[in-house]
Amino acid sequence: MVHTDRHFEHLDPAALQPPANLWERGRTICMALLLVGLVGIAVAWPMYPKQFYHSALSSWSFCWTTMMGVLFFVLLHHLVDAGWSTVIRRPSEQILAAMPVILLAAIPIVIGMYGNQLHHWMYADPAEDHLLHKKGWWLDKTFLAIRLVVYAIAWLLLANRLRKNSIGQDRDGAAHWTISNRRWSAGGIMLYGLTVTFCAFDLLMALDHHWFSTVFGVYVWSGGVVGGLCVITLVSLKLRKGPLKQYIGSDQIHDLGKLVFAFSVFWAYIAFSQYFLIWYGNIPEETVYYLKRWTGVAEEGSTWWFISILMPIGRFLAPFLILMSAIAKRNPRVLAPMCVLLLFFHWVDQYWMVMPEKSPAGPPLQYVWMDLAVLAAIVGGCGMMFISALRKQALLPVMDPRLVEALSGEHVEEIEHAEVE
Amino acid sequence: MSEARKTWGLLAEFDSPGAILRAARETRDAGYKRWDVHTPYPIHGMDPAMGLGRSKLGWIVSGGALTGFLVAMGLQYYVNWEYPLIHQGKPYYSWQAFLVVGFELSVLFAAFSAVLGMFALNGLPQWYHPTLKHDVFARASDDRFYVAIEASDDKFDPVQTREFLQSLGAVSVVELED
Repeated sequence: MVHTDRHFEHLDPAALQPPANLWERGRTICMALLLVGLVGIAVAWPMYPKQFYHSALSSWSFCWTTMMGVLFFVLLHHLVDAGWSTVIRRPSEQILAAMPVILLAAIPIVIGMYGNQLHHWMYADPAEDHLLHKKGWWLDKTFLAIRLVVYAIAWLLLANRLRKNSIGQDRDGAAHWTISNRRWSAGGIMLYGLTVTFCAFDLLMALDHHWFSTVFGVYVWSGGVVGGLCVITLVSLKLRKGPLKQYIGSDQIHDLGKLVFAFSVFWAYIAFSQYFLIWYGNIPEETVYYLKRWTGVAEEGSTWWFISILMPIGRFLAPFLILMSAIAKRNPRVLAPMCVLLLFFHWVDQYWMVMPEKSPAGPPLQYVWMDLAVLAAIVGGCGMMFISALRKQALLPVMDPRLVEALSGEHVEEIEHAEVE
Repeated sequence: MSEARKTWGLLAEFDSPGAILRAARETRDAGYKRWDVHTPYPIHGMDPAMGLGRSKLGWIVSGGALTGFLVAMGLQYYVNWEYPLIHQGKPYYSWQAFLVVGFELSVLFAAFSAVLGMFALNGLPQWYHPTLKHDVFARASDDRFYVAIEASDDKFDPVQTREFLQSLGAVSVVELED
């Protein structure tokens, strides 16, 4: 409306430079997590390698999908030329600075895979396994190695390019940075879709190489977008209590709440679609996946059904009912706990995808500490990288042409009313 | 002797979005209840300025969606009880298959209750609105902003309300007939 220009006066680039000790306590916590996690890994790896590799895969998958969710948010922002999210784009880009940690953390998984500890197809004989024989052209050790390198390069390239262009614009405000990001996002979103889908196939779906689901890539991705949006929401809420107080409005929080809500519903839609089609088709190669996660395929049965019931409640039903109202989405005291709940169940989801392949009788709860150690190490490492990156640049893309638009809106008028009345 | 026309209310004309926002706040604070604002385009912040609460439509739609879901589930359970048919070797009461119809009927009933609820809350259908009877209102779709206070309001007084509207900086104040 009429207030846009007035508010640009407030925008002092110097004031948006974060203090050098921003989130010092958070950084200390991240460092402690990293150290505790590394000690845990050092104990767990030699103690029970097979369990450790599965724990590493499930906890890494949680961090990786969440990072992919953040990358998707930034790609989408440029792709649709969004305005409102400009004020939360810089923190999101700084999360992408932790991409190398995710790629480094994948090394133990690759060691486990090629050490014949994770994926059965690596050491199964195709001559005795007709399905493996048929899928041999894809499930090939050399081809897989090439694919993994391509995925890593693609994500690193996209994360770096989007971030560097955005930071570059802080200096001169030239339009070519925005245009470059738009071009990278248009091509990047296709590269992103393919790499995320096939990486989900290669690392998670191939745990049981007999099983297949064409919607599996979307399933893993949609869960990751929920995770990524929850992280962005929590970071935005935290920044809103501190240095970005007057810049992130209740409108932005409301919009993030809507996205979290929508993608939680989308995840449920995809999860049900996958389950429903497999239930309906009733083909043994497909139903085995859900049987393992229900009462089990072996004589002794399985207790995985318990988690299978909890997941749709924690990841869909509870957030759906609680976040439905606009008042709830705008209230940080409701939104933040819901984000934590969704992140927890996103982690449970990865555990539920990976662990039944190793422990068909039920969750190996005595080894959960291994999962938590890997989780602590990766989250701690990513958190440290994120906070260090956040301190180095302005907290908003100060010269972005869409920033003025993002700063105007209902929240600005709320402030104005308070001034008038 | 022709029958005297009944006064419906007073219409005040304003010439800027800022003036209409201020006028709305003043009218709200003056304690009027039966009044409305007419603008050519949505004005941000008008809802709090008029003191409007949250719409009840969300509750109506939620009720509609829940009704649709229960109708769908009830229908399918009833049909499988009344006329059990083995299909694909699946159990008679397969919630997995029922959920699809449950989802569709939830959406259908929610959509119906959204449209019908909106009509009911807005007092539609209505043949005409008294504001449309006066020529001065033609610019409501162009560049002028209006506050209309109805005569049925408890605080309404033909003289005082007119003075009140003029004190807000109205360009013109006209009387509307029912």
